[in-house]
Amino acid sequence: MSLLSKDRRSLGLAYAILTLAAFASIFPILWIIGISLKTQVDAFAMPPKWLFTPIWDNYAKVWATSGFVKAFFNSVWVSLASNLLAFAIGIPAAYALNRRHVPGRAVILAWLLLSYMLPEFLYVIPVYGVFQQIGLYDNVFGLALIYQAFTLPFTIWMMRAFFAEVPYALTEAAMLEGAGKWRILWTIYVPIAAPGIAATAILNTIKIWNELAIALGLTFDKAQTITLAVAGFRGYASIDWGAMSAAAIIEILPMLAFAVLAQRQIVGGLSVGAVK
Amino acid sequence: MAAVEFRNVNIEFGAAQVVKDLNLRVEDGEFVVLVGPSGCGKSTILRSVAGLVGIASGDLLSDGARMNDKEPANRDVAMVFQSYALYPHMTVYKNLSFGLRIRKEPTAEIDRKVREVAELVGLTAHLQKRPAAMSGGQRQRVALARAILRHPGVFLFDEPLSNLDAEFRSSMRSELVRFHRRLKTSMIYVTHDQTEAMTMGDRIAVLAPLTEGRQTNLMQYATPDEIYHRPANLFVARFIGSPRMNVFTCKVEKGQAVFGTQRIDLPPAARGLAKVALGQRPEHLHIIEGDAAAGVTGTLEHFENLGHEYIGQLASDAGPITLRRAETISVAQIGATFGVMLDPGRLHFFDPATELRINQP
Repeated sequence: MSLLSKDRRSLGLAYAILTLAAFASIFPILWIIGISLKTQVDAFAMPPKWLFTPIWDNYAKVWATSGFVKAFFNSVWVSLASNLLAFAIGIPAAYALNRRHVPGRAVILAWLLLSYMLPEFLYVIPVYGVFQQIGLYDNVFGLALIYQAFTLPFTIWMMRAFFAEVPYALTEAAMLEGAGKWRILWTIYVPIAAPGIAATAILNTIKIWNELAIALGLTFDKAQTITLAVAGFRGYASIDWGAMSAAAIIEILPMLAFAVLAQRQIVGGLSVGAVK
Repeated sequence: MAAVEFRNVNIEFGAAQVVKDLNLRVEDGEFVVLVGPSGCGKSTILRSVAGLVGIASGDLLSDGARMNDKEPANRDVAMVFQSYALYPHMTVYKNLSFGLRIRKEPTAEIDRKVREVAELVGLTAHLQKRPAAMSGGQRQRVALARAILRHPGVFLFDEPLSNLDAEFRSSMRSELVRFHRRLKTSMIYVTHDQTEAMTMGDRIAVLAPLTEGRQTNLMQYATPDEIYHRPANLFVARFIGSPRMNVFTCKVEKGQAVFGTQRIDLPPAARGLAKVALGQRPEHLHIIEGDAAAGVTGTLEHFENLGHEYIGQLASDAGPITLRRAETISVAQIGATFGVMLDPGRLHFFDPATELRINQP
């Protein structure tokens, strides 16, 4: 048996496994799309109806639900605000932590990573009490504050990795020309690391957009996010599967568009520091 | 314009001492080359002038004023980095105007200066390009132009030509020298390349790594001629010159050095030594063909024919010997043997214990 045919066989096996894995992860989404386009009766027909005339009633219904639309834009707002906050703090922090002579740098970074691994519910209970007291409960800004804290460690880690790719000689050259630390950060590091900032922002947004536990604990009505709105189609007595599926698909769409548009940045961002 | 002076300067990285007791003065308008093998502290010394590396003790003076604690931006220096350190996201124009914009010069003035310097280094057609779209030589010019725009008292060059290909390097070399002649600004130039050192510097500072109890990094500070023809010690003798100088450690008998059958008169200061190190450049050795009386007998082990010259490696009782001839020696066969004699008039004498030069009276 030649080496080539062996290679080909293992390649075939790899493809088979990947196809299976892709199917396993895409199938539920396809099923949800199916439900969202069927009538309630068709959706639960047994055996499943593979051929049917799609109806758009569920989407119309979801978009007409004022709570859902509000939650959609709440999520947009919260994602934007918490990213802005996370970068406002994370960029200078990463720049500072990128320098070797910061005392306790390794400890700070380890703690950041640790805090990133803590479960979301750990934030919810103490913060619930605080937010009730200071009036940030059920408030989009309050939620953005918490999401900022939630994504900051990741933001710092990512930005530090991107900043580490910027040659130090650029800093020295700028210093010799009289540039201060802030100018060096904003006119050299940030523009050079722009693709990394984009990748980090996208990954942060995906995380915030899909977050449920914190939103559940810290909002009630006004500041509800899209994940809660999707869950909201579960009534007291029955579940509106059609509308819920349509809502879930609407929730997926912006992130899907994001992922497609920024695929290169995301892959680049995830593999930073991997080569070289 | 400025004169730079190091007085008993020590530089440390943590516990490691990199530069020890450095005393060096660069005169106003002088082109000084710092040369040495890696680890000799040459880049560190250069960077300390720029303020990018701190000085542990001693004084760094510029025109007599102490510079140790001044910010890099206030030191009146401009530096050309080995990697060029151009801002990759900015056009050449933006790269050049960066410092001027920081110093808040009027826009019209910035534009005039940038175009003027671009003209000077031949970059006018490339002002809107980014560094990634340019060749190594063009990037080098951008880095140089950026330094010129500073109008510094001292130019600092950190191995600026090492990333260029050989042909371009030599033309850039003469360009830099011409440029120095025109500007008459002090320049400190770091390189590990002895050709650059010999061809560019008004004076050369040969530096060595701090090993086995060396009192300082600075081995010799002199003109290229002096360095080549009167090396102050064995380190300089071996470092400058390619192929490197032959050094034979010989016994001293009756005030004469013994090189095989050859007897060589020693300068008075060397006559009392037990052993003496004789240095001779490969182009000065005599080859004796046939059976005539010779110093030592060598066997040709390897040769390189460079067209304009011929370099041979011999094995002998006195150790390996390197020969250089402008013309091909007739016995250019591997394994051939012939006699080698030293040219007594062109010998360098060193004390093997101190490695220092022993001068002829």
